[in-house]
Amino acid sequence: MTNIKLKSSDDQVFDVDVKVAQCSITIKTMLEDLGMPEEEEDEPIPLPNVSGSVLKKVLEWANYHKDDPPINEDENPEKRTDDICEWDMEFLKVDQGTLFELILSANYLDIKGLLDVTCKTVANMIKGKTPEEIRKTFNIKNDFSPIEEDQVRKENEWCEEK
Amino acid sequence: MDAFDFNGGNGQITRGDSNLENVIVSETSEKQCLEQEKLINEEINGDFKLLQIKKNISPSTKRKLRKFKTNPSSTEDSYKPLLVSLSPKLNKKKTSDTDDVSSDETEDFNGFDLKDPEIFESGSIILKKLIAEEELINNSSKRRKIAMQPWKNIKNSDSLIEETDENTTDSEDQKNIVESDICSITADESSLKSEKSVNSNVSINSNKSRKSRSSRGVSPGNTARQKVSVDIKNPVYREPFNYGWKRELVYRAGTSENQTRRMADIYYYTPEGKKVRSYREVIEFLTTSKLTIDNFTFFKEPLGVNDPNKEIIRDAKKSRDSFGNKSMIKLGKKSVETLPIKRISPKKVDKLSSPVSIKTSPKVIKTSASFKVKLPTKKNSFKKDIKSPPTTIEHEITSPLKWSLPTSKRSQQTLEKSPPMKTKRLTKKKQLQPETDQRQYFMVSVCAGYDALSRIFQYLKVQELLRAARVCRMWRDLAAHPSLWKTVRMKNSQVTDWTGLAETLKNRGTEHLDLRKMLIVGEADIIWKQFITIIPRVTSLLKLELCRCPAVVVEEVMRNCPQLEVLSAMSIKCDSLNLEAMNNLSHCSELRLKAISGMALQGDLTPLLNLSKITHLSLTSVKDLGKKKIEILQSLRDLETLELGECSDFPDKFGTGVLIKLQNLERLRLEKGQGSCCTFDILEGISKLENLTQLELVNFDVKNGFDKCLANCKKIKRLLIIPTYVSQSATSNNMILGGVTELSNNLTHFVWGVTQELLRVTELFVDQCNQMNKQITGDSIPVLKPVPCLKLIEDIVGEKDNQKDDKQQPNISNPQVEILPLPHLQKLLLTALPKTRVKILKIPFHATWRQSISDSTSQ
Repeated sequence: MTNIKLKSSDDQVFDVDVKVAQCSITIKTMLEDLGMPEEEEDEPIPLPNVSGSVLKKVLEWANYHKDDPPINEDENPEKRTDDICEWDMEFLKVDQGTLFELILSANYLDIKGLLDVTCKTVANMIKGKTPEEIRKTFNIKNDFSPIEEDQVRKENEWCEEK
Repeated sequence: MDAFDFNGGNGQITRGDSNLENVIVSETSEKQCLEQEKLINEEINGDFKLLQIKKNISPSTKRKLRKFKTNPSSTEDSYKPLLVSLSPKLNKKKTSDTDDVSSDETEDFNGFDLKDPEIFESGSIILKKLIAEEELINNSSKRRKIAMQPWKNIKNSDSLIEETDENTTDSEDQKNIVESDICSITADESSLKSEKSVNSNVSINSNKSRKSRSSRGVSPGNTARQKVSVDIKNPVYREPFNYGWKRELVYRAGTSENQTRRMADIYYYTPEGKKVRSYREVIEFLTTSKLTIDNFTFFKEPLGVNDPNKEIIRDAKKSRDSFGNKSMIKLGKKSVETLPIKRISPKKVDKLSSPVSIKTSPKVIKTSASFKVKLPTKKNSFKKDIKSPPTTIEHEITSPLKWSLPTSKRSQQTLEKSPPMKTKRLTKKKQLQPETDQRQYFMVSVCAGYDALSRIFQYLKVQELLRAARVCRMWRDLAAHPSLWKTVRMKNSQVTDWTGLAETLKNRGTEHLDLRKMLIVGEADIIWKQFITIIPRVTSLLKLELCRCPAVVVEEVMRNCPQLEVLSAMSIKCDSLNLEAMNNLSHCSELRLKAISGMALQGDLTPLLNLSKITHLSLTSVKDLGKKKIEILQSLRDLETLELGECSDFPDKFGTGVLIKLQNLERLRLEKGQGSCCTFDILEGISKLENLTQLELVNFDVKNGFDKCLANCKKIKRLLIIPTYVSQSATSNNMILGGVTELSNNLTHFVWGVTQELLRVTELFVDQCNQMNKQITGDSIPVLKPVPCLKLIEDIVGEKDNQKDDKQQPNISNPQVEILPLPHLQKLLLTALPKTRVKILKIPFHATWRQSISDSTSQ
């Protein structure tokens, strides 16, 4: 199998199976547009938005999921968050910073599967929490004035969860 | 223009534009003028002061200046008295009367543009005079250059053209700028080894100005000789390192390394990390009085400190440095940008240097010149050329200059062509590069964060979204995004305030409200009363799916929500439903009504005729449906999906009289066709529907002859059959097997619903037969002999038969019925229908109503 080189923002070069790299639509499109790199052309593809440590994770994920069937998007599916596979659960047991970097990288590299699963993971961190608990989880400052907070509470309390 | 000469020699391409405006459009903004005045007052450097002034000098002023400058002695004067004597306009400028200057300049320029014949005339007079003077000057300047030889290391003959011609006219000047652009590249490429500090550059300029331009470089302490002797190793240049500055030398991509002198760019990084490219920018960031502009040099050679923390020396292409990610990005992009310049340069030289050399005398060619090349500077000037009206050039140029016009045009073309010369790969890579500027990088991060958070919010249910909105302002705003509210599902949620719901849904433009599996806590009647009151307010609503609710809710919704396109109420709690209000739903394309335990319709189906746009209709669990003018359905010609029940009392010719008219029908589901139901006629009608590919027959009696009728429905791709199994079950199964195996060509999905009741009965039957010797275990169904296609699985069944022959005598006691275990049935079907996904459902009778192809096939 052909390999290509990817260069992270901090100049780490990764030698990757083309099939794995093509999990990223961004890279796939680029390779399609430009043709496969020739043998002698050793110039790595620069990915200036992705740091080496994150790119390593991304490629680990892509390698595991490289044979996944393409995700067909139904018109209006009910979004579930309880369908994360076990491997992904384990894979995503990382600190918040890494998790968000993975989301941004998945977004930039256009890897839908990874984007979905990372967003689901963060969504699960939000679910079932009170606003104050959410703030604590993500270290968010409550920037509402007392009046605003009262108003936003009134506007948003017409629904309750069982 | 001259001001640019003072810049470091690279990177001004973007910055230069605004300055160009000053000269060309001559609409120097007051602010800019003031800024420049301020700079002048600071008197950082005599040269700089002058240059700032010159920037705002109009073309005509410059002309006058040049004329004046033909007197060589003026170089020795200080510039100020000179300027004073030159032009009252300059006086104005010096007194900060910026408005006046601007307007004056504008006038001058207009005159230039042939709009004012008078001014134009005077302009051409000046031009003629200048041209007349030109030859004299040429001679003298050449002489002067030769005289300068001892200190001025002239190597590039082409470069001299610029100097010799610069004292003619503006149009001439324009030509020269083009040339000098070329020359500059040539100079760079030909690897001049001479001492080239910016200071020497300045000195040369001053030298030039002696002949043509204003008294650049004549200011005190800036005589040419002093500057030229400055050494690049001078510790003065290392001073900035002590204050946190960094210097970077970037060899341009593609320059061969064995060239003695490579094209390079010099940058400085301020202590704050800001990258600057010119003296002008350096000055802006000079915060300490201990550093002056003289501590900086854009001379394209290393200072030789050998400390990458102070001076970085690298190649543009293989960008490796110690500034971390962001600068890496910048540098990467830069390298991409520089390549095309490199590539076009040889062309330009080829084309353009030859006419230049014609003009230059052989002597001069041999004369070595230390000529500081300022590529981007000239580029800026060149841009000016493009902007200025070409007509002007043509009118003003007189014979000696004619050759320059095609030259400049050609070079223009060359320059314009340059972008496509980038290789595809390079262009693409450039697209992959993020925006490099710090501020843009910030915006990229913000956008990426916004995108990420809104994606995450998509996974939140209504009540979670509402809570997220209370976290902080940003979350509140983001959680209110209409895209998150297009569909609102209330599954497992409880509405405590219907008014609040209506307000939110209305404000967010909700189109789809799904109340299925909503929690109803407390007095249901009161809740529904509130719902009926508020739901008409949500005018954005197009699709409503109701949960278990009384008939009155459906009727009220039909009456008061005329905008609805989809209405689905699949668990109506009622005995009877009035369809009259359906008249209002003229936009409705999809209507699904079903009662939990059957309902009667008040009136008949006539209101359906108003649903002119309807494509999907589902009316099930309706008692006596056949008596409610069911034939009205034939008017709904657009129907693609039709679900009907109960069908037992449908008129005899429903299939061939009504269904057959619905030629757009793609999916048909019929429930409860028992007793005297006209099943065969329906199947005949179905067989003539060209577009019908999906058929569901739920709780239909399957009688003798069914196999042949089903076999005719060759278009069917997806089939679900759940027979009633009330009587003659063995016959039913035989019929189904016989019919469905005839559809092997088209069938992709086949679902056979076997009730658990039948399985139990069969088990009892087998028990009876087997008595003590129980051989057949597991779920089995009876199939009337001869079993269609049984030979396909003879190998399996045959073995059994052999065993039976020996041990299973009781089974022979019922010679008409074959007891077929479900695995065998499955095997038989898979063999007979190789292209079909087969599924055998085992379901209790009461669950038969819920089965559908989509559910079964997705499982």
